Amino acid sequence: MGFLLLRPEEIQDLVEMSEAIEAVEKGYVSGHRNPVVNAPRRRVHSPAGVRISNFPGGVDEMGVIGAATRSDRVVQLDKGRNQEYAYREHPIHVLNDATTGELLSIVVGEPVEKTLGYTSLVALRTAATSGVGFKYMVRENAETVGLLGSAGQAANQLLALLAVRPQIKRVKVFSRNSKNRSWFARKYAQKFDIEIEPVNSIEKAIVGVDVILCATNTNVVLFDGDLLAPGQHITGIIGGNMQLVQGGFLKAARREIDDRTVERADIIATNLRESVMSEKQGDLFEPIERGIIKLDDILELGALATGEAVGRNNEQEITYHKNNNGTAASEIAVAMLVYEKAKAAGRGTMIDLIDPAILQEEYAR
Amino acid sequence: MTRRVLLLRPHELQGLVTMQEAIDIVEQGYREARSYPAISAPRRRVHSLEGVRVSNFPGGIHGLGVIGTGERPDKLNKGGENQTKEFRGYPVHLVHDSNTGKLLSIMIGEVDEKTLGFTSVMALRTAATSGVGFRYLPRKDVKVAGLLGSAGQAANQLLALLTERRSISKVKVYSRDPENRRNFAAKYSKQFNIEIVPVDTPEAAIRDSDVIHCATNTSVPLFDGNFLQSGQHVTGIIGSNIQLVKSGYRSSRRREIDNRTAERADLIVCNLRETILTEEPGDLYEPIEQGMIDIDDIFELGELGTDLCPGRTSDEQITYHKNTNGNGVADLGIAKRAYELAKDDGRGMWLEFAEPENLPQAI
Repeated sequence: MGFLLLRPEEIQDLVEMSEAIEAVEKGYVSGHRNPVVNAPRRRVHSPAGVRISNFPGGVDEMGVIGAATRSDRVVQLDKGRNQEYAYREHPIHVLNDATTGELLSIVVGEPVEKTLGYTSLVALRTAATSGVGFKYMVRENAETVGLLGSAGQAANQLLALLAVRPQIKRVKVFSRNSKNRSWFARKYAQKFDIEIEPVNSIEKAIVGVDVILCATNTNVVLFDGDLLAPGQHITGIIGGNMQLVQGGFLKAARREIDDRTVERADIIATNLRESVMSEKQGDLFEPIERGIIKLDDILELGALATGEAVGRNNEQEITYHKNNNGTAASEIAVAMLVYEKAKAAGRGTMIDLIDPAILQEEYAR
Repeated sequence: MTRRVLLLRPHELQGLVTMQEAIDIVEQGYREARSYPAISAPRRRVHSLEGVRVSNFPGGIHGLGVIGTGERPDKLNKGGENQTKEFRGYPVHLVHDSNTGKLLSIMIGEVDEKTLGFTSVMALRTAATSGVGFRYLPRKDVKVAGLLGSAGQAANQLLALLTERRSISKVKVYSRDPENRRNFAAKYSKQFNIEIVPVDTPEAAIRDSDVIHCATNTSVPLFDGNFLQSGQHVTGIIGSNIQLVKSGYRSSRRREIDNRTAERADLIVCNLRETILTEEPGDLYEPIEQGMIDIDDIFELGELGTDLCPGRTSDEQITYHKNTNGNGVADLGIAKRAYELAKDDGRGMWLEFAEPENLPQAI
């Protein structure tokens, strides 16, 4: 018996965005049908600032179960107004066969989108998760996009949208730094073969567009929900967790999308409702606390993907996907895809493991 | 720039860590986590539709410079009075430096006790965790142990007890199969240099013993708590998790020790109180639910030997350690020790990885 060891250098150019979206969709379908296959992210911290994020779970539809582990060393700056990563270790994905339990592979490294390469942390699985929402919530005839943010997440989010709505024609991109937005527009207009116009205010990016993508690292609300128009879809990617507030790193829960958006949205979906409550994520937790919406009014991605719930009923609805945080449904789905492709390409190293019966024979005393 | 990570495989983890070392490590882990809870989390299990279960153990011991996760897959057979496994996978430990965050080792396989070798699932860590209880809960002058079970866990549990209580001179061992209990007695009386008598009922093992340890894979109570006598210490090792019931894999929670024992015990210690709420282990959750005991009256392993819970305070008390289940602090602590010993011994395979910041950036 043995398993395939994959190193960071061996997994850089394997997965396309559309494949990742499909895999993540399977992840949330599995978790919806078999809730005990997935669990919320859990973090442990050392006094020296090392943080281990553990994502246990599996995807029945892909025949995999296991866990992902990420280690970071976090340093607090400006009395906690910002945080910086002093070190980000390669994530490690342990993949077991969901039928037999056998270890299939240990995948070391961050899976990245093959045409984009490494951009920012967990960009592929975050964008692919947004992609599942786009598939069920964005109007079929959407043509214009307002993109807030111009770094790696922005590129991946935009690619995810193009993967499920290829007729998109025009993008307006805003970020606070004018050089960054111009650079993004030039680079990705060419790369995605699409019109991208840098704009100098958030309002210009969101007024008149069909889809609004938030891809920043903000801690505060980006725009006033009164600016929204019927038919628009909004995706937000900031989750945050209450430990940040409890630990004194932030004074208030992270926000990105305001309460007014929640109030105006006809349909709201999130990845896992359990995380909204267990991590007290501001964008949904606070409007629930204020009685603006009820937790039960929020749909889960798995319900959209199984067809149990509808993500959009007509062209007038405002739809809103809060891509609240990653779970094993996305981490393990993407890692499994990486493993399948790497194996087919003959990559990696097979590591032999001694048969337990022989181990017993030789080492029982 | 590249960096190196030590890959260790099952046969390279044998003969390294002693029971004494493991007990010390586990005690340090729980005690540190009691004052810095963020480094510890309860075990979490996920289950596939096909019955594969992956148990996850995140945690660390900063005093030993370690943090990380452990994962262990297995596949259970459904139902029955005893839990049996169709497949038992090697655990995988991802050992990181708790100061830098860097991955030190990918460790595949059980770390078995140095002198016992290959036994059963997580036997060293489970026994070492019981061992922390043995350090503070049995009477100082204990002489007789009643052992329920005769497989690998039983051998490890007994070694943990003998490590902490050298006054033990006699062991009564019960297991359902007469041949197994005779074999156990013959083998380990020689190995541990102690009198071991096979007995043919649980009651015979329990009566007049100073320490009772359960080391079976039962899913139902092993004995009636009314049999217990004052001054006895009881250790149970079955934890289990509510997801097995929620997913229809079991019709009720696993049990090992009955409610009457929880009711009669003067001092109850579990590993982590949080686990009682997240996994609902039947032996403690059910008596709490039925109002027989209060969760706030249960102590944690990290409190033992401190002002919060010095341990046994009189020779008459019945003490009860529910070794609810393993926890990342214990697993990562033992894994770190095994890594250091294996590295010093020149074992394993060094893997070279690019540093994360040296991978190709956006295309």
